[in-house]
Amino acid sequence: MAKILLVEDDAILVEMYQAKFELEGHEVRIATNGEECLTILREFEPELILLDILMPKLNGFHVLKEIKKQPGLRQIPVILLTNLGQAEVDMNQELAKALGVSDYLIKSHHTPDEVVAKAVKVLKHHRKSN
Amino acid sequence: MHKPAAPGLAAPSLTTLDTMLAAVRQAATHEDLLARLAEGLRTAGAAGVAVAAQAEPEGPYRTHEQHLPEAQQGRLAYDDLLGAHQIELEPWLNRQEVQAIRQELGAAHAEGLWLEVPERRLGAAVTFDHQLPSAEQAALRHILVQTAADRLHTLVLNQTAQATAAETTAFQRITQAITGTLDLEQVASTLLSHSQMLFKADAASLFLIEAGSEQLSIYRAIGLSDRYLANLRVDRRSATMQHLAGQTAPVQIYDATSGAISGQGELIRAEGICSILVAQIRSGQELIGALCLYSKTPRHFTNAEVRLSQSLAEQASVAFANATLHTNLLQAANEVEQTRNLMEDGLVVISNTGQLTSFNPAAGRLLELTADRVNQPFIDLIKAKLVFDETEFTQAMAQAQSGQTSHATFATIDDSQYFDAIYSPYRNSSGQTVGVLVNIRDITSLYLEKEKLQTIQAHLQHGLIMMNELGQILECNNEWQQLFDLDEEVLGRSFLEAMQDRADLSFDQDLALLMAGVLQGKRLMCYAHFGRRGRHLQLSFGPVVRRQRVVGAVATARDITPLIEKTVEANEMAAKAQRHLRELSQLADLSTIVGFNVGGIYKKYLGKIMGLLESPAASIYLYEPGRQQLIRRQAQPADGNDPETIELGSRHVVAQAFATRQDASSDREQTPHQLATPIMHHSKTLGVLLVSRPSAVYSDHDAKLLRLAATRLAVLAENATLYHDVNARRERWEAVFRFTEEGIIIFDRRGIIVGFNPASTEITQWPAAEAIGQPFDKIVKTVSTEHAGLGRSPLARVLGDGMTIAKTEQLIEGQAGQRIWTEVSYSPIFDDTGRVTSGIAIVRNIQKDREIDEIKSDFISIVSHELRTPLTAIKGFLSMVLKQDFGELGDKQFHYLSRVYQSNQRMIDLVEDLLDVSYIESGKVNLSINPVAMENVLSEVVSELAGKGAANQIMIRVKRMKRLPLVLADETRLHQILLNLVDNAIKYSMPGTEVEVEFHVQGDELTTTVADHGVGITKSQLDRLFTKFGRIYNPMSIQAGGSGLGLYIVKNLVESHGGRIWVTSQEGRGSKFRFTLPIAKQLPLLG
Repeated sequence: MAKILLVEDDAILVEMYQAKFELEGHEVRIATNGEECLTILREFEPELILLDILMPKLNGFHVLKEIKKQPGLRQIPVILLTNLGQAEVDMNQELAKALGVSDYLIKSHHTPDEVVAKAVKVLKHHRKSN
Repeated sequence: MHKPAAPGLAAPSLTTLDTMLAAVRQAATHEDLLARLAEGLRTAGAAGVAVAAQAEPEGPYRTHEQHLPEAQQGRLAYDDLLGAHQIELEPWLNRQEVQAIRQELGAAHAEGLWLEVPERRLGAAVTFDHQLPSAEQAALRHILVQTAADRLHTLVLNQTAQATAAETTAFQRITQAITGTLDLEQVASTLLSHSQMLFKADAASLFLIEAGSEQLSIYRAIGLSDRYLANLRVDRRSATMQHLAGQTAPVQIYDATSGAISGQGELIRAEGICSILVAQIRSGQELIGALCLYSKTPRHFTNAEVRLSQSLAEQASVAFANATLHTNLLQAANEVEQTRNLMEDGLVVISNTGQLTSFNPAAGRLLELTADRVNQPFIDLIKAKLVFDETEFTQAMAQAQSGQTSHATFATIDDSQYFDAIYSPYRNSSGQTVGVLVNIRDITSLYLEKEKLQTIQAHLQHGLIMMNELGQILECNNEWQQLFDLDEEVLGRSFLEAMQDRADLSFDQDLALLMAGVLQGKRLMCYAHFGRRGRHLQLSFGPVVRRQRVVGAVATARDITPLIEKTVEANEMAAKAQRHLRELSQLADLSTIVGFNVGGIYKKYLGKIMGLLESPAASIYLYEPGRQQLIRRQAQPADGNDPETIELGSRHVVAQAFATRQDASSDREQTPHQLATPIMHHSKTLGVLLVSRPSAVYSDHDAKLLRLAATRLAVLAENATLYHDVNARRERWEAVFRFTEEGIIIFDRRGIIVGFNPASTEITQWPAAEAIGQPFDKIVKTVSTEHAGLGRSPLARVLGDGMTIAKTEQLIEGQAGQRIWTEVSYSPIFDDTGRVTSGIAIVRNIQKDREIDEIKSDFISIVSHELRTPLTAIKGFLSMVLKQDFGELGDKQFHYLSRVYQSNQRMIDLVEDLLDVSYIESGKVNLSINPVAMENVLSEVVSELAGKGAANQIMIRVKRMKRLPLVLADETRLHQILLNLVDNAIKYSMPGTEVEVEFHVQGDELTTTVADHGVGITKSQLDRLFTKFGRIYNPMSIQAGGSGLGLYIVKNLVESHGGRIWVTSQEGRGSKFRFTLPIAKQLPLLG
């Protein structure tokens, strides 16, 4: 069981991922844009953040940079979720690595099941190393 | 010396007169007499007196007295003037000297008086007076002079008588002394010592002319220095000697220091000698020497002395003759004795009865005879030693006894010596033949020499002829006979006769003249031509000289035909070489013609060729492909007869040469003669070179020269064409350079800009004038680049590695700081050797393209994003439903929803592929190249596809390799590549087969092979396999599905990694896809 923050602007996808994660027994908080994400993080400390990139207001990389700036937040593992193409992912891969992203997933390539599996793997790894 | 008396004395008294006369009469010597006379004359009033008188009869006026002022002493030369007896006193008194004395004395006049006795004039007295003497004084003077003359006569006569007596005595003594001995030395020394005494001479010498010498030198002397003796030489032909020989009487030299003896003045002065008396010594009429008597003071030898010296010389001559005769006799006697002892010829006297009578030492040596053999039979004595023919001996003896001389030769038994014997009669003093005289000569050496000579002659390869002094042939060897084809006997014939007047034999010189020269002792040479044999002969002639006399001649001859032929050949070759040299230099001249003014070159060229081939006309024809004709491009002379155009295939030599690509020449009979040669460059025939001349047919050599000239001309023509070609190209290029919209920048090896076209200025805002000379990087200032290079700048790779870099997009900053996107392509420029000399960059302004691209790219991003989101939702929810997370599904529901899921997945894949293609085509694929472990990526792929394989009963088998190297790749893309290929392989495999993956390392690359055992690919399909939508329509492709973009994307991905991909396939058997990736050999420079 883990506390997860899902940052996603598409309501359908929010519903989908939330359903799956909660089905698996995780506690999911939702932010629908970057600003909201940062606001929530002030009072909610998740064990994992699922972060979309293309979002209104603040995009995923800006949010990520902001998180990494804050001492209380920077240790939280982040999985980037996107529906950009592989080429764009490749383009941003370096930046993502630099920002300490745990995984970088193209949403359409993975079923919610697989995303949960990845998240669990990241969590396990994170817990072990702590 | 007497002082002059004071003038103007009074007349003397008679007493005084008597005293004076008595004094004169009683004078004992003539010096005394003359002094007294002078005294007396002064007493008789003379202001000055000078007297002179002979000391002996006929002698010169030796003694004189002068009562004159000191300054005038000696001025009156009596010897010269009075001594000749011919001069009258009167004119003498008017002489300058006498007048001078008169003036000095203040005398009014001078008068002369002869000292005479009847028939004889003995001297003279001269008086100088201030005024005419009185009659008394005059009378007194006459008496004085007359008295003095009488006394003088007496004195002279007395003295002569005394002298004669003394001389006679002395002469007798000398004569006795010198004729009393036969010894020449003694004769000489006696003669000299006595002569010196007799003549009271300071020195005496005896000169003798040595036999064979041209000089008179001193044989013996007394009172003279060694230096004088050693150096005094008087040449036999000198004036002195001629004079001496010509005089019958001895010669007096009063002053010898003045060079009277030619060339010896210096020597004589050094000796202090003043006067010399020379008496000739003769043998018959010939002068053989001289007796010389010397005085160190000036001395006149008296006539008596002269005569005496002559007598002594005559005596000496006799003595010398005797002494010489004696010496010669002695010498002769010695010589006879020596001759007998030294004689090499043996002399043997044999009596009429054959006994040895006597022999000389030489005979003793030669025949080993000893004195005790005398009277033994001669024949017995020599038989043991000599090979001896008794009959011959007897015959020779008999001949000699009968008065004839005969001759024989014999050798010793051991053959070591050879003797020549001459038998002649031996007569006693009364002329009776009392025996035989045998003259035996050892001729061993002669014999050996002769043998040697014969051997030489026999082996001499030269012809040899020996002749006597008359030019008669004594010897002629075989070679000579062969050389000159002499069949007949030539010995004894005249050389000239034997050799001359032969029709086929000619000499380069007159043989008779030549022979005459040889017999005069000259060595000469001549050449002969022997027509019959075609021989050239060289003859050398030399005289045979015996004791400085030519006694014969030798001629040698040798065949110099080969030599002559060689010389002729060499001359011909030299001439040929000379010609070739000239041709070569003219050919070399051709090479100096350069340039691109074709007309000028052709004209010059033709000029040179005309010189080279001695042709007055020449033309150049060039092929005109469009017209099927050969056009005359240049002709010399310009108005020549060569046609302006020649049709291909015509019979003209030019057309022939062009067609056959070989020389062609006109018929021999036709004039002018023509020679044409094709102008070939490599295998291309450019035209024809034509020369013509009326004089001579062209030879093969001429053709060769013309070919050479044509070859050179071809190069020139080709060069000119090339030049014009290049020029045209350059112009075209310049137009492109100037008017293209793309910036063209040329830079040198250092990256410095050397060319900058207007479009470049448009793009960079740098004026060409400012840009040229600047570094490329300064003018094309790259701010950012999309080029995924590994460190080295494009310029470095172009100039350093010779790489071509195509279309790199670069954001550059112009001169004013404005930024603009460009697409730059770089290419190196190589020289002939493959070295990079410079580079070129083409800069295109892609700012607009770029902006459009960005819009397009954003559009694609947004579209794909917007497409994916609903697809993701479909996929996600369906996956959960299918997993029955939200309640169970009925079978049909599950099946249909699975179909929906699959369709959705295809849609996702399609969108993905389209997006990839779009990125690839817009060049936006950004690879993150790192060393990647191929095996790891493959493992992921295999695990992903294992399920799919299993579903189709297909095994994926990886042939693993030990230590598989890392490859340089983008891991995600590598995954994509492998996934695509393996997935394809599964798709097209027959069920139950294997898909095999294997690796090969080859050089710097790793080759990955993905093989299936499927349907294979037909040849026609292979071609479009990697193209966009190159979907393969085959029985399995329908079920295989896919967008048809997969291999296109794979190919592009592999190639953007720097690899290659290809396929081999056998229809019905399967396909093998192979691709390469660079091996990571070291850590990449960019991490």
